[in-house]
Amino acid sequence: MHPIDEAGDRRPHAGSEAGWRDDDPLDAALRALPGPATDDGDAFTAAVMRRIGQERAYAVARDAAARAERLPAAQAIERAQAARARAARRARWIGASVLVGTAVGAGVTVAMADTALQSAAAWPPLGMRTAAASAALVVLLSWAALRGGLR
Amino acid sequence: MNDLSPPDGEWLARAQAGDAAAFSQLVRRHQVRVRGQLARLTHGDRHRADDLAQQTFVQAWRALGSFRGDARVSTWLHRIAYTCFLQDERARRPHAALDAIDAVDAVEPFESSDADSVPGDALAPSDPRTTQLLQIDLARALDRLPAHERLAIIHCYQLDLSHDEAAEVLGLPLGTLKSQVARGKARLRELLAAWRAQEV
Repeated sequence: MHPIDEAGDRRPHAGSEAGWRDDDPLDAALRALPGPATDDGDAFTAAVMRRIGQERAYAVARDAAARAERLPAAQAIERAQAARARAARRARWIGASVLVGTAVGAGVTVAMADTALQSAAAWPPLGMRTAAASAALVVLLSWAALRGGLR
Repeated sequence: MNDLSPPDGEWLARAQAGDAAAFSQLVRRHQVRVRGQLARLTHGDRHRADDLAQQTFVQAWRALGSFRGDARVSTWLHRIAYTCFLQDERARRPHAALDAIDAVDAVEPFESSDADSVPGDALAPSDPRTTQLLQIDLARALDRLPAHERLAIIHCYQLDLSHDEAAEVLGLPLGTLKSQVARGKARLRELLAAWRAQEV
């Protein structure tokens, strides 16, 4: 007959498969050795379940703490990415401003120099003033472009 | 093989779904066996055994998701309990090999409690007093066995596991376990020579 343990768990093996023999006095004596008394099963079970409850509560708290730690880190990464994007936009704007300022300034300078040279032929002081004014305009336009880009 | 008994299987499935009450039923069912195993492994240190048993069930709770039902729940719990015991033993004596923990150098029969006065089939006494004396001597003899032989005998005889199950719990090849059982029994017969003299 298969022994049945306390849990109602039917043994999968007969005595001979377990290695003990009913007709061996030593085997029988070994199997008859009393185990420790465990009459506080309910208290033990309650203690185990308390420990598991504590473990679950600790796991929840640990997850919450991990999430809380992850949040500032994620925010910092987001801030850094936004700053990088702003810097890139600003660099592109500065580049474009310098390019446009230089092109406009060069065009105006050429036009005014041409006018100045023509005027100088007729009235040299006016030609010199026009040339100076065109150079000042180029400087002003470039400064304005740079300042706009840096803002 | 998947031979979970229906009650264990049902509680297990519910526990694996996160039902703590179902797990507490498993604890209630198996605590006697697990605590008995650990009490024997710790030479009767009940406090240490109960602490390790609690640890066993907490670890079982953590590992519920990975248990596929390849073994019986009791075998699985015994395996976890044995692992907990080994870890605790190593933590207490980090430099001692398991065999060195409680092995005997030589097997010398000890004086029996009262074997000389026992008539008849000495290892199968019929009166309660003699049975009690035999159990005392047998427990003493078990404590004097080398650790691996003692563990093999405890799991096969006292926990009523099959050789396959005991080998799984102890993490040993089946043949090794069988030879340890046989060697342990031979030593026990030598240690209990006084009783056997009465028996034969």
